[in-house]
Amino acid sequence: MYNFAPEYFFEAFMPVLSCLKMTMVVTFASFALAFVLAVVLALVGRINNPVVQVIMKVWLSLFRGTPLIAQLFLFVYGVFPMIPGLSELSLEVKAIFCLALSFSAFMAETIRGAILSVDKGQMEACITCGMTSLQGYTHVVLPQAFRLAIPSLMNNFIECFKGSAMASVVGVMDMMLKAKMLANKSYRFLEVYLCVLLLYWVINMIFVAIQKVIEQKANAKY
Amino acid sequence: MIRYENVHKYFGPVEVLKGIDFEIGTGEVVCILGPSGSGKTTLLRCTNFLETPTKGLITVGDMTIDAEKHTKKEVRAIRQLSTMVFQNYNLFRNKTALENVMTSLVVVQKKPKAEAREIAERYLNVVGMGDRMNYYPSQLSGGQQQRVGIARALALQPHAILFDEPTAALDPELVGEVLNVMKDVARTGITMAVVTHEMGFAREVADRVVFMDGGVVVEQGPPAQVLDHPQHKRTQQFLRAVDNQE
Repeated sequence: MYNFAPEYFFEAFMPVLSCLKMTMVVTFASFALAFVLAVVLALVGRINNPVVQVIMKVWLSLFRGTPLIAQLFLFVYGVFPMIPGLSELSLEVKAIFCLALSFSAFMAETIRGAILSVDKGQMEACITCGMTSLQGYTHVVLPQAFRLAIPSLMNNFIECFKGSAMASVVGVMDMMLKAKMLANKSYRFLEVYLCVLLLYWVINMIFVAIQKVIEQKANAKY
Repeated sequence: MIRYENVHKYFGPVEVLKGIDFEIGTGEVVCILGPSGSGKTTLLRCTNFLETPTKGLITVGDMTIDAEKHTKKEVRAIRQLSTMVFQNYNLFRNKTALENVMTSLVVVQKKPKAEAREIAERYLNVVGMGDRMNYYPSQLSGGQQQRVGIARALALQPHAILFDEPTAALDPELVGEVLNVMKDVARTGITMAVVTHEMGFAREVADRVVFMDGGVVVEQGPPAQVLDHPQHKRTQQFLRAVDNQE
């Protein structure tokens, strides 16, 4: 029977937590970037042009249909170093870019669905008032779509948070990589990985609580 | 002024408008009547290119567009000459009554916010919604929403207002308040095209009535003539059916 050593468990918390900041930076930065990309993708996807449609379909299918870990290795070690301007960026930023690309494909679907569920009379009203479709989107349709998308977007955010741990495989020093290093040093896998798993879980529950508050706020308005 | 010249509209293989020709003079109130499927709503929606007509000329104010060779810029320009009041109101659900009226003033007409607010308040008072300016559409009754919709259409000071069955979705007891506001609007001398089933309104307010059926204009003239002495058999049938309902 494995002998659980509490001291390794408790001693892991401080070092792992010292990397919480990196986990948060990766999570929020990749989510924010993915969100912007997703809105652009969702709007571009509305353009009725066969070439645009094919590019969109390939993009979405590529990022949703391949493992994140493969994407990270390909983009961080392979693609980004070839692109002038991106090659000098730090490993962390490259990883964030790659995560954002990947998450944006999922979030674009969320936002696309939300835009579709806004009554099309709303856009018609915008147009009859003389607005361009872009003005209609920014002032009327997108604000309504975001409210509808909040629950799914929060789920996307939690996927981002969990997915951020994947950045450790290309060497981003987040909570996951720190835990891995501790475990490899002490061979206390159970204690250390239990510690990091609990931390992810607790932080996740905090996010879920925040999600509830945001949803209530958004629904109170109209 | 609104003018339709040989306007055709196909939805796929179905010809919904089969060559519409008539004119609504500046300041004139014209009610377009007809059974469902007669193409009256489609015609209205072709006026501001919510539907693109397949063929024909559309004129609003001083702007004429040939449906077969229109540019985006032209469409945008002709849309700014009219506004529309919808059957299901289509108020912006994320905006208060005041913001519903203000938004296009700021976004389209580039008015400063303070001025837009002043204009919006004025028109909301005109439609009797001055005390509900900060309510969201979900907090208003159908009749109240439609009055805000009319204020939104008026505030932009368009050349013409298109009413697409504005009372059809309302509870019977709320129809009156909307029709009364529309009567007031008619008195201001703005050009109005009204698709409606309200015979009483047509009789009382319209300068002219156009009766459509099967994608063509069957009969038109002053309300007293068309409604009381219809010449065409189809018009007679329709009016009899409506009479029996009432």
